[in-house]
Amino acid sequence: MKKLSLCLLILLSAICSFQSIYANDSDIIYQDSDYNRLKAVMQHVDNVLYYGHGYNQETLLLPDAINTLTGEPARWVFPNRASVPYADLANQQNFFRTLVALSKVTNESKYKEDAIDMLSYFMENYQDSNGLFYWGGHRTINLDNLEVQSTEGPNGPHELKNMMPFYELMLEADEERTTRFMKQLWTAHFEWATSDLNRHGSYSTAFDGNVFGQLIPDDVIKMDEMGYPIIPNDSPGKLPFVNAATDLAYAAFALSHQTGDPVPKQWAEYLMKQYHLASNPDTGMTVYQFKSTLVTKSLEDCSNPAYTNSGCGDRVARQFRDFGSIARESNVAWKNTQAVYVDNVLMLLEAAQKYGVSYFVDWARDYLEGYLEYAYIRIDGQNKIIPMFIDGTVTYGYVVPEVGYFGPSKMRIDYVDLPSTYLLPIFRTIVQTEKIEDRAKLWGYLRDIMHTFGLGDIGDVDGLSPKLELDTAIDDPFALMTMVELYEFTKNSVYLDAARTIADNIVTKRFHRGFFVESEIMLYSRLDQPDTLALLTLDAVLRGISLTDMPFYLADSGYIHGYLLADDGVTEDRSYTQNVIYTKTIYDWE
Amino acid sequence: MKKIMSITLVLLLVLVGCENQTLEQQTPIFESVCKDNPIKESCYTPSYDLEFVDTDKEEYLIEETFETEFLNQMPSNWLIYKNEEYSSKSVWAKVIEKDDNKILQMYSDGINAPMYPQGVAKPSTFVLSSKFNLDKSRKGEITGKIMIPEVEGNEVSFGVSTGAVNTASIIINQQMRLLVKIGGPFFYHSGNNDSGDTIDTGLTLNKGVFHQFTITWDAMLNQITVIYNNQSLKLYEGSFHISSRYNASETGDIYVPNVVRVTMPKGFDYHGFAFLDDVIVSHKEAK
Repeated sequence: MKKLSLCLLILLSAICSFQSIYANDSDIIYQDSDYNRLKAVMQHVDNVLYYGHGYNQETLLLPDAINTLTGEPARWVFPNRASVPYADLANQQNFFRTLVALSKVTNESKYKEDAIDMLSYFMENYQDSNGLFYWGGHRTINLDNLEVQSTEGPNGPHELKNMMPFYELMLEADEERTTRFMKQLWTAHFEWATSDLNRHGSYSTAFDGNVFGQLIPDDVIKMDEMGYPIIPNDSPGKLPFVNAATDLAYAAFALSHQTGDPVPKQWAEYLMKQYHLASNPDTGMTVYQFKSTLVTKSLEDCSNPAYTNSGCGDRVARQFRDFGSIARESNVAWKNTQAVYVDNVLMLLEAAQKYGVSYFVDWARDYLEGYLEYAYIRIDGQNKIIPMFIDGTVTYGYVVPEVGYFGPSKMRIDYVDLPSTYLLPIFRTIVQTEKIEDRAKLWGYLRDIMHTFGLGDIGDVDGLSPKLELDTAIDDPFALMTMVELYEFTKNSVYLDAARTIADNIVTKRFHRGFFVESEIMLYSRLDQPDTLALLTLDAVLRGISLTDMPFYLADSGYIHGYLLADDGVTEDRSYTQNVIYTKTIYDWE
Repeated sequence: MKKIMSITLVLLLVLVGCENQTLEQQTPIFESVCKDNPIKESCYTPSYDLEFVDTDKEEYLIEETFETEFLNQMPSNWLIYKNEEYSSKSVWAKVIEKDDNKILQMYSDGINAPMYPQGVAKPSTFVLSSKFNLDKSRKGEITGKIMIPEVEGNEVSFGVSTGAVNTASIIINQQMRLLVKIGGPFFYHSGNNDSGDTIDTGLTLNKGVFHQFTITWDAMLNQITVIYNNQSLKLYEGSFHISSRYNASETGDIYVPNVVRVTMPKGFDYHGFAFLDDVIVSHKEAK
């Protein structure tokens, strides 16, 4: 009897302890403070819809960003002062995800219906006869006259770089036009005879209904006698950037999933394999491109180092020739790393989870482990990247002798910030790694990185012993999504407590003048910002909705690139919305 | 003793295990009434009454005689272009005094140029500018004086631009030949070599003296006039160049100038001086 009592007491104690750590979804109480965050998201969304649609009521399209001082669309200003309010639906994908997520958590269908209406209208009115949509890096819709606008000369090409459209919703809105686009994306960007991938696709390329009809060729990347990849330098101006490949692969996976035809998926696997083969076998770090460009321009043109056209050959080889043969655009591991290790990895993981390409998880883990092992460093309490080539050759401290694609002369190569966007790919790789012992290395890096970001200690991989900074000042959507997913993974409610703090910080620090902005002083509210989607993932979990039923965050890489009027208002520039427009503060507006 | 220790241990475990729950019980947490009715009127009412600032911009002009500027300094309302490749003394402009008159001395070494536009036939090293706004009137007039010195004179252009694109300017080249340039370069259309139209006036000017020029424009009439005032000579009268139009298309809206610009070109031989004075931008109807 005594023993029985003792056992019962111990059991009771264990239950109490367990309940104090692990919460059932039904135990979570949705509080007023939780609702206040949802209300902020609804206000933002309603304002975007109201003021965005209010600018030109003859269209269902919304601007990419809203000037929070004037309520008007952001404008692309050409060198000749032509000022164009732009709607580029490739750059609005997180807003569509937000609308669907909002319908999910509010049980109110109007938001998703709005999203479907906008996408249907866009696809019906702005699909070229060859199947490509008028969107992406160099094409947009002018909201003044509703005409297609090019920012890259009169006939700018089609370009998607890690925009990863919300295909599930597009297919729901208009399956025929969406699948036509997915096919033409390959026809316009991929050259079947040479396996050249061009980030630029032509609107003149005819639609090919039998687009995936060719036999899959041998791998482009061969190994030398030492087992190292040989990067061909025969690509005539067609730069096979991984961020363009990511979008091609993602479209092909979604197409196979939709139609049941396995061939597009096989081509996607072939394409991504070329990047994998080109990775460094010693370090595990992977590449930005698997080919270098052929020299097609004249010696006279190329003698000017400021002339950075890719027709003068590999732009890293030109500017970093001191480093010898490793100095190639493909091998740089301090620039465009977001494309390689964040957006690309998120797509690989999505393909593994949704489309059954499970070995992509191993690739993702190899890339991240290699990169973090060699390049990650903590300096002065900050997460940094040591600049290097993918074989580990460090470029830190190097002073660039002359101007070139990577920057001005006398530029000193310094440590690079490791942004919080890395959290999700690292964590999702851990979650999708089957063997527990294979998770430990990345978990260690995640633990260090999150601690350095000021989020506290996430504890061991089992989620049993976190010591999180529950009073953190972090207002970061990627940290929020990671905390929410950590909760989903471990069911330890402490992660949820931290997520609520971060989410409160996001609303306090980023919700101003009726819109979500990067900070109080930032002028523009971008439709592609990840804040609202992150807040809704938390809201969903608090309501007991599984994250698998919510739109999945993949990227917020949408941009426009082309010729524009520089900030000084008197010189021409060639830049990106992210560098020229979305960096403006309320003090810059005149 | 064993019993006491066992009971103490078990009590301790129970207390530790249930500590959090006990605390939670002390502070009741209520579920939000809006959880299941998030868009119900009592919970949320969208309010579309945000206060925005006025986007209407006032017109303003330029009246620059440099008389109120400090000597040996860059005049306050002007901007000179430089990037990382320029050395500290590669381009400069400073106010000097000559015969009781303050004028602007300008120098360019001709070595570097802005990164864009690329591929242009004769890029500028020296780009000096000031802004005005006649966007409502859509017509206006500028006068200005340019002098090339007897020694170390450089090729120079003076005129008005719409943003980065030349609307109308005069060019005095190294042989003191007077040219007029209408439009361009606009390398948004980089493939078609749209550098604007250059007109040789057939005039050769003198060094060491100021030459006054007047440019008038009227977007409603699609008309630009360039006059050499020293001889009251009309150098050009015609329409805006296509590069001033929206999308650089024949039917595109005309964008009116808003920048006064003085340039000196990039090139091995293009290093030297020029002088500027009495830059006046006015409403066209005021004359």
